[in-house]
Amino acid sequence: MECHESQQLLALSLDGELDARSEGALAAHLEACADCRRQRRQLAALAAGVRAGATYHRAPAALRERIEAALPADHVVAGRGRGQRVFPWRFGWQLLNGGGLAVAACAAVLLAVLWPQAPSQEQRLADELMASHARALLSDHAIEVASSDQHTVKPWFSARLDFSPPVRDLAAEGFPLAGGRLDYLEGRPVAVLIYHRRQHLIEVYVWPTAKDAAAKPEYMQGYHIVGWTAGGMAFRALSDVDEKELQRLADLLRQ
Amino acid sequence: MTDEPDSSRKRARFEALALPHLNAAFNLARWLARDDQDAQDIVQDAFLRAFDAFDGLRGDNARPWLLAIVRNTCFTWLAHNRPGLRQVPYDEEMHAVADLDADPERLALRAGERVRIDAALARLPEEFREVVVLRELEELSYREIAAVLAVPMGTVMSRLARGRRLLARYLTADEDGA
Repeated sequence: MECHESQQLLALSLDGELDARSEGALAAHLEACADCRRQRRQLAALAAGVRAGATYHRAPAALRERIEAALPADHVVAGRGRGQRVFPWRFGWQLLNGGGLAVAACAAVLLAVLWPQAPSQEQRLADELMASHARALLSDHAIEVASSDQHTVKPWFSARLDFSPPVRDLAAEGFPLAGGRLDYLEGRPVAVLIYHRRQHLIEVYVWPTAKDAAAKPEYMQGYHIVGWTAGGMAFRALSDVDEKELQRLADLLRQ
Repeated sequence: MTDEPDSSRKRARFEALALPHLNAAFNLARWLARDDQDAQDIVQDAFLRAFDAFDGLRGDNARPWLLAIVRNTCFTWLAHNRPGLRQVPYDEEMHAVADLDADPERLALRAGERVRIDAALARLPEEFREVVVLRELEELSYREIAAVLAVPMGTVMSRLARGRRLLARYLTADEDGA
C-alpha cells in the first residue's frame, strides 16, 4: 500500500467505516510507515479533542414542554394513563374486542409480518451495494483490471470466478468500459464491471442466480440502483448518474 | 370499548420515536444557528414539521430522518431571519489549508479546552461544521450523515476530511498565539 492510499483510509478506519480486508492492509502499512502512524495519531487526537472538548448542547427542559404543548391532539396524554400501549396493529385489537379471535389472530400475524417493515432483502442488498461502492471509491481499489478491452477483462474474471460474467465495451453508445474488480455481496464473490459516463462512474455487479426476479429501481443517498436478471445472472447497476441513463445502460447490457 | 382517535395514536408513536432525539436535534440546531433561543425556535418548528411528515417515515431509525428536517428548518430559518449573514466565504480558507502535518504534540488536545475547541468549531464554515458535529458529537455513520444531508457518501467523506483539516489548522494557529 502506498502512503497516499493509506492516508485516505486512515479517517475511515478511525471512523469505523473500513472493511476488514482494507483494515488489514492498512495495519500492515502502518507497521512499516512512521509517517502514516504519525498522521493516524494526529487524526485520532483531533477527533478525541473535539469529542471531549466541544460543547454538546442539550435541549433545555422547557423546550420539551413547549414541543409537547404545541403538538396537536393533546388529550392523548391523558389517554396514555390508561396503561394501554398504542400498537400499530390496532386493527387486530378491534377484531379481538369484537370476539373474532381466529380472524384477529390471522390479522395480527399478517400485520406483524407487514409492520413494522423489516428491511427487505432487496433493501439489504442495496445497502451492501452502497457500502461496497463507497469503499471501492475511497480505497483506490475501484478498478483491479483496468482495460477498455472486453477480451482482457473477461478472461481476468474467468480466471478468478467460477462463473463468467458477460463483458461488453459500450464506448460507441457512450458508456466506455473502464475495467473490473472482484467484490463480495451477501457473502459471495461477485464481478463488478466499471463503465464511465462522462465524469461519472457506473458499477455493474454481476453474479449467478437461479431466480428470475425483476428488481424495482432504488434511489438512495444520491445514487440510483437498477436491477435485472438475464441468462442466469443477476445484475445491479449503481451510479450517481441520472436514472434514465442508468436504465439505458441496463437496456444495452440486456440486449 | 372507547377507541382512541387516529391523531392520538399518531402522536404517541411520534413522541416515542422522535422525542428521544430532542438533544441531538437541539445540538445540531444550536451549532448551526449559534444561538440558544433561535435554536429552540428552530427545533420546535422542526418537530411540528416532522409531526406533519411523520406518516412518511419508514422503519424505526428516526434520528437521521429527524435531523434532516431540523437541518432544513434551520437553513430556511437562517435565510429568513439572518439574510446576508451567511457564513464567511471559505475559498480563501481552503487554499491555505496545510495537511495535518503539524507537530503531533501541538495537536494533542487537552480535555477542558472547551472554549478553544468550541471557538474553532464555531469558526468552521457551516458545510463543514455540520458534518463534524454529526460525526464527532452525534457519532452518526457516514451513511446516516449522507441521509441527513441528502448527498452521496463520497461527499460526506470529503467534507469531513476538509473540515478536520481546517479544524486542525485553527487549533494549531491558535496555539501560536495568533
